[in-house]
Amino acid sequence: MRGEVAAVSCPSCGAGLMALGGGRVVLQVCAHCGAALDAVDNYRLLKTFADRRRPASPFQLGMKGQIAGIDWTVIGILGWAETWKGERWNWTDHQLFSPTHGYAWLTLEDGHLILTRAWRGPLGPNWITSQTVELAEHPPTIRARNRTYTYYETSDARISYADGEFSSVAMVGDRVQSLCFLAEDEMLTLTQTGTEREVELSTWPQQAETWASFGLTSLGKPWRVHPLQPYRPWPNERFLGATGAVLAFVSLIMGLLLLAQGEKVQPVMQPGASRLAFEAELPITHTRGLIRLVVQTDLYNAWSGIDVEITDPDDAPVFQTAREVGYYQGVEGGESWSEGNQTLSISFRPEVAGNYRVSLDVPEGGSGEGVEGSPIRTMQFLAYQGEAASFWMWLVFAISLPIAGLTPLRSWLHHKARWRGSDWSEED
Amino acid sequence: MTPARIIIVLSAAATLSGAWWLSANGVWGESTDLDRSIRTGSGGNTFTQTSVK
Amino acid sequence: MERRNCLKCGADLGESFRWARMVNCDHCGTAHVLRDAVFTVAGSSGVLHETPGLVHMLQPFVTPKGTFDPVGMVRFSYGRGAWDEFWALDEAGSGAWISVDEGDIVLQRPTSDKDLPHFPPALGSTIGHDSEDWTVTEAETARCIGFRGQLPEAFELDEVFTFVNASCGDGRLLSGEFHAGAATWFIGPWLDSFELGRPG
Repeated sequence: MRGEVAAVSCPSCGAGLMALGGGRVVLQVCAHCGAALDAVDNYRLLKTFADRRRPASPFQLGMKGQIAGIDWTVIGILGWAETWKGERWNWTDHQLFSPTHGYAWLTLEDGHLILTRAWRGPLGPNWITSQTVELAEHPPTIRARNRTYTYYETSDARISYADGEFSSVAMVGDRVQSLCFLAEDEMLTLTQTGTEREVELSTWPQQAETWASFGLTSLGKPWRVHPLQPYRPWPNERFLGATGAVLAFVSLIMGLLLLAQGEKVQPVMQPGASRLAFEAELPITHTRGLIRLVVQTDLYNAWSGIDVEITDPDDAPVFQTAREVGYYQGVEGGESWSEGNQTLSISFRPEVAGNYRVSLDVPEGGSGEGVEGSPIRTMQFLAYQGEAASFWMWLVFAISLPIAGLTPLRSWLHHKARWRGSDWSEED
Repeated sequence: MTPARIIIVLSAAATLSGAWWLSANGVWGESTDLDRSIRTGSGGNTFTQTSVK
Repeated sequence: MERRNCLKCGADLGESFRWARMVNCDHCGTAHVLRDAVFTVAGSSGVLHETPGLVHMLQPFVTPKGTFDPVGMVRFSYGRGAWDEFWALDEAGSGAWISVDEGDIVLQRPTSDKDLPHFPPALGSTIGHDSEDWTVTEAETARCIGFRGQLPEAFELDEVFTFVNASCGDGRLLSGEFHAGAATWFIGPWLDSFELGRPG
């Protein structure tokens, strides 16, 4: 082998440099002194940076790991800062190199790891500028890779730190404006510097596996949902949702069946002391369910007090009650209104079967503010036994609905959380 | 079928049958204004709900 | 094979320079570059050491543009690295060039456009082709450092030529090669290295 071998050392501080990347590395920043060196032109000193605060990243130059089944080496670390409306965001890009797949970025942002690589395929339309976004009435979209990406945000970030090797010239202090477009599981980033246009494609790799493959422990569960984060259902969530849907259907059917339960009891009527008063004997044959008494009146813009007393087959009083029934109707401002009820309904549970005695009296009533004799002209008395309290089933129905809608609801909330960071507003 | 799924199905079945039993027996279906104190033997008229509009 | 020692700490660098131009010392991490002589040349077709890559000779692979079987390859060196051009046959037996450079993969076929320049256009200049404006993004010289297998044209070892790459932003790359006044142009789409697979 002919040729001369030369050690690569920093021309600024003399420290030995590591070359981990391949032939497309154009910039090397000395980890020791921060000198930016032209990797293509014999490590010529381009610039030195005095202010060097390494971003808090557990990734180190030379670390190896696997993402999407591809072996990568961390060859460069780039710190980013963005300020907008007084808020500040920081994230760290790690330049990755793979001999088979070339160069990519692993971004650490809010505890999320994002894999970004160049995308050179066709776009429809060819390009979108920030002017297009500003003038658009609706969020602009881009077609690529059989997906539609919708405008998400414009990022205007500044490089705050650089260390290692890079496949593009990235100097501390450089500002980069990019337009981000989001599809369900991928983000396209359009960056234009001068005449050079670059499209990058970002995905959210399996987080735990990625951390582990680089020999690191995750920074903990991120508190914020990342726009690229896929919806992850709970274990058995879809099964639970399906069960909820079945429960809703069955409880609806059962509720209707329960409403239909109960049979009419033919009362033996005896007139009482006054015009509307009466005594009725109810032959109750079974004790399951409820007995329901219904008194239908013809009250109209009037009220009436109704007293009811019940005794059981042993002639012992079961209960007594006094109700007021009233029904009012009118027209106000062209709209008709009504309030109150013409019907009285009383339910109770029988403890024994046999003949129950109902005594009903109508002691008072009126059609205005005053108290006078009852305005009821005719009255009908009905009785039922074995009626169900179906509200239990309606309660089950009500509970089963959100369970059935669990996945749609959660994925909608997830979708909302993913798009929360978008800077699109309809007033733009 | 995993234990978690068995639990889900069993609790759904238990909820349904429980609701059916409570409904069919009319539990808590009584009117709430029924005065049962006479039955307990007070003998007095506790008829206090005289309606005056 | 001549062995090298680290210029910083003296540790043995082993035979790492066999196929790489750049080697890190295992002991102190210092990088070493091999200047001037890039790869040892032995025999008339050069020695092509196996390098890590997605495409390998006679191993068919699947792309979104069809399945290809690489039957020949040429290696060129440029700047600090090297790239491989595979002559690959599609299912119909028709050949195409697939160039592979660290994950950047392009599938190109010759274009018969007579209006394309016969001399290398300058970096950043614009050329017209297929009703699009193509901007020259790369203009460099390359040297053929080896070839093997079946190839559609004759290659000469150590032959130096100029090449340009131009793009119009529609996912295709237009490349021109210039040998002593004669120009050959190729055009075709970028292939996503993440979308390459083995058949079956």
